[in-house]
Amino acid sequence: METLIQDIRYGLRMLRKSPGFTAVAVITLALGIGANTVTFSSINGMLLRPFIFPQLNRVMAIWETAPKQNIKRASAAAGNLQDWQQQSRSFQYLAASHTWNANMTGAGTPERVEGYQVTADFFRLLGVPAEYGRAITTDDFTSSRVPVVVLSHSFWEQRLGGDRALVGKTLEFDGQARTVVGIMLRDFDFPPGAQAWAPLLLSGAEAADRDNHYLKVIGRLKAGVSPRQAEGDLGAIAARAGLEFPQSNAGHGVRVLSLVEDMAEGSRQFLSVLLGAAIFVLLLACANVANLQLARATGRAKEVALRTALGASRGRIIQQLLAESLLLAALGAGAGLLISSWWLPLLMRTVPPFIIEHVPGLKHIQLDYRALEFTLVLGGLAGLLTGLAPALQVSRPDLNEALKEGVRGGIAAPGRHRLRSLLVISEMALAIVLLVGAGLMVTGFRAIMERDQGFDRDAILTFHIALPAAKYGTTARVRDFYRQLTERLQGLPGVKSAAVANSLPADWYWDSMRVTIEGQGPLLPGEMRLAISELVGPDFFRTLRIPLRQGRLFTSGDGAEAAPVAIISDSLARHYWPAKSPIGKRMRLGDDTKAPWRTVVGVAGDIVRAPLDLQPDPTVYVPFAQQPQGAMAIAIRTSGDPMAVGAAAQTQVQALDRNQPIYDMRTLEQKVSDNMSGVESSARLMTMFGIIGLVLAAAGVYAVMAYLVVQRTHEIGVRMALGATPGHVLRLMVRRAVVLAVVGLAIGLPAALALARVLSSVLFGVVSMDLAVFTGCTFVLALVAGVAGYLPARRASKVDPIVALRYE
Amino acid sequence: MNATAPSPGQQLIRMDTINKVFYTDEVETHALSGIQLEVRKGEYVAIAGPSGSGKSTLLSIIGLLDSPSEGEYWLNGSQVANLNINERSRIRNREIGFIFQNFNLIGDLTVYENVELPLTYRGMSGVERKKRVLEALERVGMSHRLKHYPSQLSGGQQQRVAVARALGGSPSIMLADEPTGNLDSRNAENIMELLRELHREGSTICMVTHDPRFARHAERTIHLFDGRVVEETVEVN
Repeated sequence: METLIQDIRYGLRMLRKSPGFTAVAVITLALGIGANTVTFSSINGMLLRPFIFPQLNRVMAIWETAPKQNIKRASAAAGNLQDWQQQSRSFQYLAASHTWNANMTGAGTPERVEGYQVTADFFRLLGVPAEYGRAITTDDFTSSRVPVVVLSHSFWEQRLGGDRALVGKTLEFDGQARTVVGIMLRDFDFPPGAQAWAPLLLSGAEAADRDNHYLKVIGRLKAGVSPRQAEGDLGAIAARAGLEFPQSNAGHGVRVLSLVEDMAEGSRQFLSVLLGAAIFVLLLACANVANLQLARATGRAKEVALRTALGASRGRIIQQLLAESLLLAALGAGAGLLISSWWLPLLMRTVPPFIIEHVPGLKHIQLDYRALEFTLVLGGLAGLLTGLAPALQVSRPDLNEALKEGVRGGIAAPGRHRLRSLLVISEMALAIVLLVGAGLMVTGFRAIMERDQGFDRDAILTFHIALPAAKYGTTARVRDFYRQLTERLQGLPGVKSAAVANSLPADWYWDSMRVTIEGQGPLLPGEMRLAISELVGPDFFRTLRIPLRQGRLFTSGDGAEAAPVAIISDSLARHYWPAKSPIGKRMRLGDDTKAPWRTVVGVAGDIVRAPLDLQPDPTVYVPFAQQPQGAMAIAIRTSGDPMAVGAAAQTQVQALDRNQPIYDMRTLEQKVSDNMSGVESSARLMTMFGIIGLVLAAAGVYAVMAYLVVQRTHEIGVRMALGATPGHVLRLMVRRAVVLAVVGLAIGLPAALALARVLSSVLFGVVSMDLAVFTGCTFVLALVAGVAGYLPARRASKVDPIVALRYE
Repeated sequence: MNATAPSPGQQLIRMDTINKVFYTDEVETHALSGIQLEVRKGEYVAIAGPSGSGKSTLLSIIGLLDSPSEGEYWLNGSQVANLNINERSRIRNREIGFIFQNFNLIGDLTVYENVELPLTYRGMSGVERKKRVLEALERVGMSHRLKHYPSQLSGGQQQRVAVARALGGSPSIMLADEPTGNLDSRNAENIMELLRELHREGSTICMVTHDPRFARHAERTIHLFDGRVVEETVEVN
């Protein structure tokens, strides 16, 4: 212990003695460690602890599946959930939620609330109590109880003033009075973005229904039961239901996976890639610092030889050198934490608020004790990694040679610089892998943003309205409201057209319905023949500039009394009527056999709803006037800045109904961009890592070349005495840098190719092979390495041979 | 001692009133003052003197590694005192062969490559280079060590390789700076014998030494003291 303290004290003195070296090494390590701490904090927030539920690993997401139709995540039907609740032996609790977006009145300005209706065990399953009042319990489901609501902490605080006295008071949701029975804990946000929860009350028929799949089911496993066992248990129940109710359930299965895994689908791949890149950055930083340490160790060979001559063992010497290295790494880790504390908030500021609210764990990203522990461990590893090679090398000195005043002129053992060269080669290899990875992510992101999504997202303002059923009880009233609203909006200055639709591209929710095609036979047992059902106004296609492929668009003549019609998307037309025109053919939407047959009057171009979707979803468009519903989206094409007409649009809504809130007002461009913000943030981080990698690789080449110039000064003098011109010397030194760079690239490029393959499978649809990225990155790295090698080489070419020959 | 007249060859080096002044922290140090020197082709000249007398500075100026502060220097009839760095490199490469006290072989190059090195700067063809390298190494008795690295050779062997490197370019003059300074007496004698042989075969040699025993190997010895030529003796065999 005493020797350790002595080593640390001496190490501190040595680091103080070389402030330049210490500063460069600490900054280099801080960049590498900081990159990892930032990435780990994101992983910690989003993948390890996205929710505050106790025993989170036992909370499962449960989906229905239809393997024959390749459906892996279907919401559950209420009847099936009932089976699971009654027959399953694997779960302590099973619960479900269903979207319940309501207009809230009675507390000032009308508010649109993002709510969920939940079953009785929902809160008990999650194990989180209310902060004030209580959560929803079984008692709230009895018919005698008054309707209740539980509010999220942020909604209560930000929208309702954070008044504790609100508990027990009444608020109106869609015209129905509900008693606020509780305010949840601050960090409770499940499902992500939820602002309010209400009991999901189902009638006997609704609870037994097996056709409508709309429930998001979660379960808490009993202790000692694995997800696989639970899946088997529910699978057996589903198989029995398939036999009992073949028309709705035949061939259906169940998928059970951890809630974290389910929610992180999508972000996990990006975070894994980023962590890999951050590790590369750290390895690069370590290689650089190891290189610096090697140079420094060579300069200290005599000191080490003297210590050895005085009786120090090799282990003792290694311990002393490692203590210095660990001290350096500890400083680097401290500086890395500082960098992270600045970097992380900066990163979070680039994430749109909507995404922070709705992506699990994003709002929990912070530098916590886990990040601190991670950084300390990383610092220790970096200290060992950077210090071990120099310590091993310098701890075995040739005492006879080292203790002489100088070494014999000009003799350097072959391979003396091999380790340093190896480190530079590794740096080049790591850097090209990192750069290619970053390049592929950035070009992939750009390609997605620039690809034709089948609609024109420029200059479109969007917002949503949900008319409460209590107030707009008839379809005529709903139809009339939206007809008047679109007319008013179209009359606003700066508006080219306006349209209603039940969902817009880039929305997170849309309706899927069963499709029955006339003349194509009944559904097979258990078959789900689904298409997205869009209710749209007559100007929808013109507003979004979705092209018409065949037939005609909707007109104002396609009203309530007119013959039911539909426009279908290109992909749906190809699927059901391959090589034939679908115009004039008939189809029915939904499960109701009494629903009208709709005649296909047009075929529209396909649209990509989510930026990462590779295949367009088959879609059926129905005139809004023929099937009006209260919750609709509005799209307004403007001639200038879309947000400039936002206030006027809101005024028009309130002119029709002053208690009617609008919500989620964003431009379509913003919506698409928000949806891409995860990819964009990843691409931005990768770019940052790539730039750090490039700088570190250049610094590595520069440091080695500068060191070589110093080491070879005498040799350069000899060469010049023998007739070498400055040009010869310059070429000699640059050639060395080029050889190192080329070898590094030769090793790194196949690795980059392998990485590209991995990336394109992990980030399917984002990253694809791009020769231009490989070529460009190779060129940039070679150029940077060339310049980094040229500068010291130029200095070498200016060496005075007389001075150089005297140099030992 | 038997007197033999210096070789009556053509004039190879002529120096006229060469001065060399070093400036360090505003202190002027006169390393060489008013040096007059003439070396003829085929001559074997020794420059002797105590430490700090200016021998090595003079040799550096002769070898175009340094330039005089004042005075004129003709090599092979051309004025070379004030050439640019590339011209000096070219002349060093073609006209001068260096033999250093500490051998100055390049550790990462083999014996063959070390001897070949100055020839590569001349842009000579590979075939010609090979011929010359093998001839030079044969001449110094080191042709059996072509693939060895300097660290695998004894001091005497390294200096032989250094002599071969100087010889390989067929220079007008070989400049030897204390060539025996790092050798034991036996190897030192061998190297001096080698230089004498080369002189007998027609090479012009200019050697710096502080050891009078070795200075006697030369035909003529120029004695320096405090940067001035104080005496010139002719060896009589």
